[in-house]
Amino acid sequence: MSAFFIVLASTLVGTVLSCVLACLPGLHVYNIMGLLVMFIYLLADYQIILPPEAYLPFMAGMIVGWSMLNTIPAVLLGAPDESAIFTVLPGQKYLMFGRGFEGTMITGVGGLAGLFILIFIIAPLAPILLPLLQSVLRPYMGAIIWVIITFILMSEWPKGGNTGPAGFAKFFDAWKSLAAGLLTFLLAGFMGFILLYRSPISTEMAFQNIMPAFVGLFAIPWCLLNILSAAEVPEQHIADSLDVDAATILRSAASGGLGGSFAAFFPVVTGGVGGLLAGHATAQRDERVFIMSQGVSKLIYYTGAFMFFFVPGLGLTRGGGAWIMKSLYTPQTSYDYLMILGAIAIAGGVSYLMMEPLTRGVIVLIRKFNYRYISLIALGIIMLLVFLVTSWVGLFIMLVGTGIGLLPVLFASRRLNCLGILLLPIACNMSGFGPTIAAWLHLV
Amino acid sequence: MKETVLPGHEQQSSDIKCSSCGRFVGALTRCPHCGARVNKRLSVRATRYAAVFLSVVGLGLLYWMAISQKIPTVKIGDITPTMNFAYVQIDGKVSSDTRIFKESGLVRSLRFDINDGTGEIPVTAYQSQARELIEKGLVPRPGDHISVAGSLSVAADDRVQLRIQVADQVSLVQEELGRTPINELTSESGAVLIEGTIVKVMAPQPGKKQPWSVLVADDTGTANLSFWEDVYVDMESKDKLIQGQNIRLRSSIKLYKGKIQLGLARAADLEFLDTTLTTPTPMKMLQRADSLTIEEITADLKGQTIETEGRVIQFQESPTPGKAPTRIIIEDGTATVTIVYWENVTQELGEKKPEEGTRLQVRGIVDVYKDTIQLKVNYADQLEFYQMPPTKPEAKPDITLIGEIGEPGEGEVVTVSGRLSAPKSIKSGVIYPLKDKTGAIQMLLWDRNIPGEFRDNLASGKTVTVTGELKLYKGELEIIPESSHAIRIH
Repeated sequence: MSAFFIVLASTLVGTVLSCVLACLPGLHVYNIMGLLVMFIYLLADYQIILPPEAYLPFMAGMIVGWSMLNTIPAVLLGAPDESAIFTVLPGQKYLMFGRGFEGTMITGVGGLAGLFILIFIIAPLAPILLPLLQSVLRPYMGAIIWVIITFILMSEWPKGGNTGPAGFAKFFDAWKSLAAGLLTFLLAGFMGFILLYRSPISTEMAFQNIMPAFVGLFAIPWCLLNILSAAEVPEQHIADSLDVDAATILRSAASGGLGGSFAAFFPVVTGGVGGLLAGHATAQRDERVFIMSQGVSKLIYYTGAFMFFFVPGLGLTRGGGAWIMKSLYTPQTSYDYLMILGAIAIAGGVSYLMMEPLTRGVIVLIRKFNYRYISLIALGIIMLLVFLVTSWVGLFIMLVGTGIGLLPVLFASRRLNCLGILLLPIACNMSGFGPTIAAWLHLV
Repeated sequence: MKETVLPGHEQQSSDIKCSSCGRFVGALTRCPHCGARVNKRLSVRATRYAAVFLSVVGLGLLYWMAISQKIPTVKIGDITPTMNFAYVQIDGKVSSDTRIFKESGLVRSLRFDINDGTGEIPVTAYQSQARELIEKGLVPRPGDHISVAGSLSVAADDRVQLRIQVADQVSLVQEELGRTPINELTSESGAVLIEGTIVKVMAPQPGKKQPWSVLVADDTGTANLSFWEDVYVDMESKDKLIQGQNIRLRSSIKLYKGKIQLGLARAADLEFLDTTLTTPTPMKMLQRADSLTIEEITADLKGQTIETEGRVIQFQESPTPGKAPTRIIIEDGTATVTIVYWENVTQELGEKKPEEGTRLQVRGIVDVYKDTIQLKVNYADQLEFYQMPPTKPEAKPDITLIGEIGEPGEGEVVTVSGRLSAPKSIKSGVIYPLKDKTGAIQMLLWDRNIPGEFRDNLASGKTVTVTGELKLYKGELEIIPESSHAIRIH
């Protein structure tokens, strides 16, 4: 079979698989990719060596499909990953008005717009501009991360304390969500230090050090919330048109493109952070623009970060997908880059086409089954995955992460603060004093 | 008895009724009718604090668990790709020289290799960790026993490295090495101690990124020692790096183009000996069967491979590659000989072309063409070009006091000496203020003139002597050295 057909087939299989898996709340594509990489190593132990044309497009298809369709559980099941945090509130609003299908499809259109930006604007310019940008910005990356952290923490606003008599109770009411946000950030950061410097996970599985913590911080709290939630999902209407126009798409593409590109290029910055920064920078108020731009941002972040790994002469590793691939493959020429671009484009088209039937399918599913049960099944799958990869220790780390991840949910602060798990230790490392702090903590 | 439900209250939760008398109590915690305590509902606030408690306690346990566990010791051969990011300890023997990388005089990183018998792994320390290792005297030398902990980085194609996070986790036992005869050197020798005599010193060509090359001989054979300019700069007795000097060298073995080569990463590992070694004279060492003077190359040797060396007196590049060879004529004071090679060698040599006066070492097959003896070369690595090293210490230049420099004339060149202050980066270069007791001048180092490796040896506080052209720029005097050879660091 020629390389063309291998690439095409593996792209399609990866895309379809990830589209189906994306419908499960809380399940992250990086967890699946981690398992697949372990499977590829296992095959290699038995002298079965897969060609890169088989697994690289497959992984690209996985990432594109998942980043396009993970909106479905985010909107319809209210179980977002950290990059979809901002989709939840307007998305749930759509859901409660019976417009969940439309909300999902609007985000999907955003994802499609994101793919156009990625393939037709970013991809041709990346080999020329990014190495230059990288060499200019490299000495300042640490400072940039600190500025982002400061922005995340300082742009949190008090929620409460507006009414009632003056005094400590009112003060506490106003500050409790801010304090909870800070506490979440610091606890998550402390956990990040432990996991980066002295992870209890076995050394054989060290490449998945952070995975159980991420599952605990983001996936489990939402699954739990869905299970415990008493809200009834109203009947969903399947719309045959979307309440968007060209201007909305352009505004969303600009805002989301900015956020997604920023997140894909800078280390540790995720789609959620990129979305937050771009949202503030472009000051978009329209709810539709908000939802759609998150679709754009999310897709460019996940897919763009993976794509940058293959840009010839750049040597940039951003995002979990690229880090997972780094131990498996070293991109060499523009052959790899073109292959990945082709796979991304094909996967983007296929996954968008799968969006409508799968959204309909999930709506039928939640009509027939209580969506709490779906969350319960997802919770079981995620925990099993964590156990398979990282054993009991991983489950314990996941439990601790869940405790921290519940804080923003219960105190109504931003869940983005959970990203302290990466932001704090990496920013300290980039500024050169991470090991010193780790030594103070007796971790090294 | 059947429970009485008031009309319209069928859907009411049992939480708002007294479980003792069954009457409505609302949000009260004690029944106003019968005085019984009413079961309290779970407070949301309680769940919040439970979450805080859970996370803090859990984190505490995790922390305790983390610091209680011993850093796992792994064998290099057992490292797998899934161990990326693992924090591990490796025990082994240092198998390479330690390379120290500097930028603007500041140590940026250091790197060495460890071999534990199951494999070899490069170990890197960056910035503060690298500086701390140097300050604590923990820079390993080839052959030292080392135990080091750090983070593993495993990339595809078996590219693995260990990154040191804290200098305290490096434990070093310095190994005293016994002398190794040169003829016993193999690519597997690892770290060696060589005692011998310098036979030949070849300095890098000015402005070119080439290493120093020193031919060392002992009573068993010869070996080539190679090191970079920064090592030369650090040598305290540069004047002793001359032919005939006895040396003791702690080195690691490298393979370069299939030949064994001695490496030198630190000037401290090269010791100039005052005593005489009991070795035959180095020049005698060269009287080997295949190393001949040009006069000794005769037609009788046709078909044999021999080695000779000399100064290039003529270089004729082939006007029609593929049809005619390129010719180089060399002389060594005894005779001249023509070296010929074809297009494939030209392509392998690339930009490398011999200039007249260049020293050339050649290994070739003796041939006779139109009654003239030729040496045929089939591979580029059979030709080695060297610049002749200084054979005697350079004459000391006249040093001008900075305060005595007036309005600079066109192309005026002076030599000044003084202490450097903090550098300032400019586009395509760097400026170091240079002060002596009479005044100050800006020492302008263009990137194109002074290579980065050399600039790394400069730092604020160092004393230098520099020769260069004077310029007046925006009212400030500047001295611009043409190459790194125009700067001497004291």
